[in-house]
Amino acid sequence: MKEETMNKLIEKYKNGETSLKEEETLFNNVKEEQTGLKMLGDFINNNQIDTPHNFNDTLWKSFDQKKSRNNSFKIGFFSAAASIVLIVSLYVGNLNRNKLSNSEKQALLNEAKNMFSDIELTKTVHHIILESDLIVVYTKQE
Amino acid sequence: MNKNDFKVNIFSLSEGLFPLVARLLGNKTKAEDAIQEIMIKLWEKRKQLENHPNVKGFVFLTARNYCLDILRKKRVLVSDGEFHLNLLKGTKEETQLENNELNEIIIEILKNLPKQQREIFIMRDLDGYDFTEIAIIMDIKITHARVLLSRARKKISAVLQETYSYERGNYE
Repeated sequence: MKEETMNKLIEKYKNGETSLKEEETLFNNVKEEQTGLKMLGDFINNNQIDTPHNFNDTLWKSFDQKKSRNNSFKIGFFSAAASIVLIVSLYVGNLNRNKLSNSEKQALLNEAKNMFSDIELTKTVHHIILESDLIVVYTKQE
Repeated sequence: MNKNDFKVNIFSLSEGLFPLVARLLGNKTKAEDAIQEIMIKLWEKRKQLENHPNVKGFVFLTARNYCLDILRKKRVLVSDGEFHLNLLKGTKEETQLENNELNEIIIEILKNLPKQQREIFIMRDLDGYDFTEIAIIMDIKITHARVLLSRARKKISAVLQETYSYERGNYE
């Protein structure tokens, strides 16, 4: 690279006007005699953080697994919750049904009792006043 | 936004986030876990991201804030919103003794720079971020970021030149 171009690039670099591409070119072409810049280039090279190889792809795999694990956890959780709700509602429903049939039984029992007392009430008492071979004369009390 | 759109438009920024997150957390392994968590957060917000005018900016800010939250929980931050980018130790395994000396000299120069200038220099010259990303992360204007970077580069060059001349003067 021509010295003039290099100097212009250095000036541009110091003014913060170089593109990332130009900066790469600058540090790749820096000569030993430009010691300050050479040292800086070495420092940058030593302290750059290497992103792991294929980082996006490897991270995507574990991300995908984690995401689906989250989903299956949600599905599991909701199905467990739904089962509990179902069991509880069946239990409560049955309780209610028992209560109903009990009251029905009560009603039936009462009805039966009433019928029984009716019979007792309607039980008639006959007082025979006159009895012969042909006729029977009696009074009835209800 | 379906899974593939998310992978292409959002998840593909993971590699770009790596240096920033690693420097904020000061650890490369933690950075991997953190980026995964950040992506899960973004996945949950994917409906919001669909019509966002600056998706990349949103992703970088989410990442930055996530790291600051972690640091805040560990009480690493001195005051709210203050953060610093670490120069990771042993970034390159093949670092030689000579390079260690060089590192020490430049780290010393960096320590003496104003904080913002130091951060911007690291983000640009070490991590290769463009000015739009730097402006978003630092919450400043692009032109301001350029000015601060220029000041940092000029100071570093001047001190290095001085150190070099001094050394040469000694040996000649």
